[in-house]
Order: sequence, then C-alpha cells, then structure tokens
Amino acid sequence: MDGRCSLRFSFWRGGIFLAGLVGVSALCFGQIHFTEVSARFGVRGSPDFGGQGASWVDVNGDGRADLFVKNQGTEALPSIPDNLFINYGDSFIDEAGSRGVADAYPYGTHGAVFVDLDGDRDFDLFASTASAGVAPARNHLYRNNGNGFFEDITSTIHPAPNVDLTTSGVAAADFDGDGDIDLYFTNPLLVSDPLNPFPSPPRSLLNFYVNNGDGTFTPEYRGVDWTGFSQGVATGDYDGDGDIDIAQAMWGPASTVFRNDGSGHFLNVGAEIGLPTGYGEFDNGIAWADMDNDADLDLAVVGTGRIDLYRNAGGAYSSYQVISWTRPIEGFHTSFGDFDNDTDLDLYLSGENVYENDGQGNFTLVPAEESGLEASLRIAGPRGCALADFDGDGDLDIYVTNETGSNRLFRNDLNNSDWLKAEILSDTGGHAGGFGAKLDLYEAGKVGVPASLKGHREMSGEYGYLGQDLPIAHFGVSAAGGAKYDLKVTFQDGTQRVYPGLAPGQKVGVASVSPPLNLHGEKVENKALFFHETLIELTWEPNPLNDDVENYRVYELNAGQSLLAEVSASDYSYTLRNIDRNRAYRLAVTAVDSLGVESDPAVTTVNAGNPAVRLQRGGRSRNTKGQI
Amino acid sequence: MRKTAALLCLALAVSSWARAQTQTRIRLLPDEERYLTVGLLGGIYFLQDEVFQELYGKSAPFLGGELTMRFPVREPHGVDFSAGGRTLSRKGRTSYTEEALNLRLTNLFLSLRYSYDTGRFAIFAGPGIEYISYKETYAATFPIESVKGSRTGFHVTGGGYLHLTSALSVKAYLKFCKVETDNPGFRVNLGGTEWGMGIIYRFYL
Repeated sequence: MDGRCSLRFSFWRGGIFLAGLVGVSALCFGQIHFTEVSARFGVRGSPDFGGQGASWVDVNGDGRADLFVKNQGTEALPSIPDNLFINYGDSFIDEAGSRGVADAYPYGTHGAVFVDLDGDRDFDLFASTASAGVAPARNHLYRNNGNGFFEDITSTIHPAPNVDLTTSGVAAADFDGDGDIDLYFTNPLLVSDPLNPFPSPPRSLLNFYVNNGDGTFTPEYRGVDWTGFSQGVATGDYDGDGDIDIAQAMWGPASTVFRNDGSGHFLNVGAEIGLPTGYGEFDNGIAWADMDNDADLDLAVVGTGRIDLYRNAGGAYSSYQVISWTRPIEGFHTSFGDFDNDTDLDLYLSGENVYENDGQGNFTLVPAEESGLEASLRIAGPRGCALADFDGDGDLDIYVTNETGSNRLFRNDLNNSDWLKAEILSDTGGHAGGFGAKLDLYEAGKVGVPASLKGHREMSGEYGYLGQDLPIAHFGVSAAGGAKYDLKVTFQDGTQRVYPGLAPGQKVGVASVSPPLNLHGEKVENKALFFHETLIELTWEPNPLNDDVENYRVYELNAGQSLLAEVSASDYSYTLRNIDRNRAYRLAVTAVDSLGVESDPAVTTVNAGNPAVRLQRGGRSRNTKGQI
Repeated sequence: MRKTAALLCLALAVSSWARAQTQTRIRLLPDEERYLTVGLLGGIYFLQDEVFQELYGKSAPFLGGELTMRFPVREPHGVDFSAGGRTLSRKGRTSYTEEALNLRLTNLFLSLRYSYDTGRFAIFAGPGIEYISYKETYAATFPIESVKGSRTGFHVTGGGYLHLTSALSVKAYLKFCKVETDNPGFRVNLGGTEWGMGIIYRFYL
C-alpha cells in the first residue's frame, strides 16, 4: 500500500469518527440519557439484603459526594450493617464499619438523615431502627468528628427512650425556629398491623427529638399524632410562612401535611388544604418540589401504582396530574431534579423511568430506549433513591436502592455547562447544608421578578421514601450568550443574601456571614503632656461560624449610619481617636466575606462620661505614677 | 539616734579645731569691686507634673547660661542681679497608644539675690521670675501635630560659688520653680526642682 492510499484510509476513518461524534453529541444535547455504572464504581451493595434508601452526602469534606445506603435486615441476618461508600473519584469503598456508622442493629435501618446537628459544619447522622419483632429497637445519633469518622451520641437523648420503634421516614429541620436542628421520626411504637387500612385513634407519642441547644435532645410530642403506619416524610415551607412543615406518606389514613405554627407544634391540615381525606391507600413516598417554577412547593404523593401531583396555589393544593405505570412494582420514591439542565424539574420514579417536565409542571414519560434507564426497569424491589452529581460534571446522577437485590447507580451523560450549583457551607445558625433555606435563581438583575425565576429550591434532608439528595442545590440554566444569573438565598430566619452575576458551570459556596462576637467599646484616655485625648477602643472576637471573612466594617450609628473604617480580617480592634468624652457613641461592626456579603451588625453603645482606667496597649497597666 | 549624736559631736570637734587655728583669710577677689559674670550651666530638672513623669521620666537634663551683675553693699555682703536661660528636650511616648512625643522646654529667668562673698567662695539666695516656653510635637498618627505656648512663674534659688581664680569660679545651685498653665484646658505643672552647676567667668567693672 503506497503512502497516498494510507492517507486516504486515515482520512475516511477520521471522518467517520467525527461524524459519529457529532451524531452522538446531537443526540445527547439537551436530552436525558443515563448509563448504569454501579458495578464500575462498586456501589451495588449486597445482593443478599435489601437497600431501603440512600443518602448522598460529603461526610469527609473532600468535595466529593459519598453515599450512605440504608439496609434492612432479613430474618436470617437481622443485624446487617449499612453502607457508607466513600467516593475516591474513580471508585467507592464501603467504610461504614471503620467510620462508625454501620448502625447494624436489628432489624436494620430505614430512615436516616445526614444533618449538621451540632453546627460544626459537618454532617452528623440520625439513623432509625425498625423493630420487626427484634428488641431493643432504638434510633441512633452519630456525631461526625469532622473527618468523616463518627461516634455514637445516642446518649445525648434525655431521658433515654425506652420503647421499641418501627421508624420508617425521618426528618431533620429547625422546627421550632430556635436556631438548632430538631429531629422527627415516624412510628414511635411497635406497629402490630401496619397493613390495617383504617386509621387508629390518634395517639400522642414522643416522636420528636427536640434539640436543647446544648448538645442534648429531649423526646417530645409536638402535635403529630400517630393514626396509622407512616412511611416517607418530607419537610418544607409549603405555606411560605417561614417555618418548616411536615408532609407524611401513610398506610391506611390519607397522606397528609402537618402545618407548623411557628413554634414547632404541628396541626394536621391535609383536609383544610385540599388533600384527600379518605383511607385505604398505601402511600410510601411524599415529596415537595416546585414543579411549575412559581416559587412554591408543589406536592407529589407516591403510592401503589400511581403518583399524585398537587399544584400549590397560596398554600392550598389541587390535584392536576396522576402518573401511573404498568410495571408490577409499588411506587416508593420520586426524585425531582433537572436532569436535562433545561431549567424545570424532571421526575424520576424509583425502579421506573424519568418523566420530563414541560415547564408548567406537566410530566411526560421519557422512553427507556431514549433515557437509557432499561436497568432501572429491571429492579425488582425498588425503594428509596437519591440524586447527586457524584462525578462533578454538572448533571444529576441517580442512585436507586433495591430491597430484593443489588442497588443501581445511573450516571447522567449530559455533560454540558448549563448548570449552577449552590452549596450552603453555613447558614445563619452555622449549619452546613442550610436545611430550611430557600434558593431562588433569577436572570441577572431581575431578582424578585417572577417571570425571570429560573428555579426555586428548598434545602431539606430525607424526603420521598428514605432518599436524601446531596445537599447542594442544582439548577439547570442556559449558558448561551454569556447569560448570567443572580442567586437569592433566604435562610430560615429570614436573612437574605444575593449572589449576583453568576455564570453557569460553577458551584457557589453560600455562607451566611455572621456578625462578630463580644463587641465591646471602652473609653480610654490617651495622654500627651499638653494634649489629653479620649479615644474609644473597640474590640471584638471573630465569629467561629465565619470562615471567609475578608474584612470588618466599623460604623457609627449616632446620626444615620456612617462608615468609619474597614479593618482587615486578622484585626479584631479599632480605635476611634479624639472623641468627645461627654457624648454617647453607638457603634457597629459587621463582617464582610470575599463576595462582599455583609453580616448583620454587632452593636455596642459607649456611654458619655469619663474615660475608663488607663490601660496601656499590650495588657500592661500603669498606676497614676506612671509605674508599670 | 546614736548616729545623729555621734555626727553632732564630730561636727563640734571639727568646729572647735577650726576656730583654734590662725585666722588667715585667703582672698582671690578684690574688695568692693563690682563684677559681671558669664556662666555656662548644666544640670537636671525634676518636673513635678505627674503626667510628665509618666511620659518622659522623672527628670530631664538641660543646658543653659546666665549673666550676673554683682553689686557689693558692704563686703562680704552684696546683691546680685541675674538673667539667664536654659533649654531641655525630651522624647517620650503617649500614655495609651505609645506614640512618639517630643517636648522642648525653654526657660528664661530674672533673679535678685543676696550674696555673701568671702573672696574664696560665695553663697547666694533669692527669688526671681521665670518664663517658660513649651512646644510638644506628636507622631503623624496623633490627632494633632503639635502644641506650643508659654507661661510665667517665679522661683527661689540658692547656691554657692567656689572661686578658682580671680576670674574663674565654679557654681552650684538649687532652684525651685513654680510655673503652671491651664492653656490646654487642663492644668500642667511646669514647675519643679532644678539642680545645676557650671563654670563662671568674671569681668571686673
């Protein structure tokens, strides 16, 4: 073969390759397509016992999404461990045992939620235990030591619970608005007949662990009566009143919503807000998501053979679509995520398929040959699932648990730059994840304009049926034409931060900047022989909740607000020179982060009057003779 | 007490011995001569002001000079008219912020003194008026650049001369000054105790 012929062959081969590449790209662009990669990444779990749910969470703070699988025991093996698959980039390794979260209590784990219980910016674990006739069955708390290793802190629950539980779904949020994370769990009793289709007389049982703020929890009843076997739980502010409400999927009694009165006490308002009131359904999952992109939480209830979708209109719900399927599986979990990065939230039903949103909240099935989810349709006992961008390519991947076999990881093949992610590093209470925070993405310069809303997310823990997505908000937004976006974050206490001008293809770290602590002002006399100056020495301490302070701003508040100085982040004092000793001074200091976000002010008042004792800087003090 | 008694006894003994010696007056200076002295002085000024002591230390060295005209009245008694001045500068730090300070104090004085001159040595004492000019300058970070002003007070002084030759004497003295100012808005006591000595050159008129 001469050289010319060889060149021609290479040209043709390259052309065919390029044509194929272009074709595949065109096929995949903007379309939903997944590839099953669970064996490749080693996250199938055990084929011998079943996964009930999953949580994506970065337990060791390395920026990668780790995976916790909640396993249910079997009669032969009631004390089975959960899995904590640590993400090492190209593979996962199960380290649940060595990291202290195997939680291998009979009869296994159902609900479990990773949440920053102690405000130290890592994710702790609240894991349930289901009795199923094996006692004792207690829920457990595990504290993350900051590096992804855990210690059992169940003893922080006082008084120690002494009843066996059949906990299924769990929830974590600051229900009482006091700045710390409380816990809720279902079925705080042994359920003799969970399949009883009729409501039980209401039973007021201790189904909250209320955080006392000092590292201890108190079991309390907060108005959520037990009326029948409960499955999945979701949390969110469905009525927009600033507190966290609870939605609960039920067997027998209708799935319902418990409205928070603001103090962490709840009332069943299902009938009042338009949800069905009959009984006899067996619902497993319940989820809140803004399906029609109008900045409120619509509701999805998953039961046997159907998903009921309810549209939220001012806190009242109306059913608008029912999704059913022909496969002989129960419906357990629906996840909502923008799988094709086209701005609206699509729907995935565990063990079934993806449904694409038309932008108005109406969902259409994506055929398996298009979505690539054939393996999903082969899962025999699908249970909870969870979403995360585990490979960091900007799209949402799916992990599905299987009660009767291996679990599955589906990698999203989208790979474009039409996305923005926001991770709450610390909220106003210093908690990682920012549960309860609302994130609204708008076109740049149009914050608050409903037509420019590109996505509304509310950070929460476990939802649906025992699934917890990675607590990083994901938005699909177009990068075309250099589009920019503004992100408005509203923390649960109402504090708002706006991150303007965000270009797609990046993750934004959201940190609530907290004011400095222990601001103190003292009048001090500074003497020369012929000039006696009164100054105010303003001192403060850095707030440990802040890790990104760029500088501090000092203001005088006496007449309006006037900026006196900007002080570097490493300085915790400022001196006001030559002030009027006969005047009171009202002063404020704020912390400013690297994005220019400014904290609320710490304020102090220095009263009129003579200066305080003369203290020489550096801690030495002098007496009136000038002797040190 | 025993120590004091022993010292008194010693003093009486020395006095008795001296009186027993032949009275030979050693004179270096002629009688009944008016003379003018020019002197160069140095010493230490102990300011009373507590703030000064805190910022600059308890004392400050100075240099100065004086002119004295002696009018004999009936030898060895006489009257001296004296005029002179001294200047001192001191570095310090502010009380709290410890910023650099510079102080310059310049005194001018006029004194009227009684003097007793034996021809070999002389002693003197008397009052006078004192004029003090002050300037304190501050670091750039201080709210103001400098403060300056002046104030008049009075003093009493006493001391002695030891005549080395008919033209040259050594002087030592002690002076108490009282000068206060309220100009800064608070009282600053510029008075104090001045210990000094110097060399005096004498012109006979």
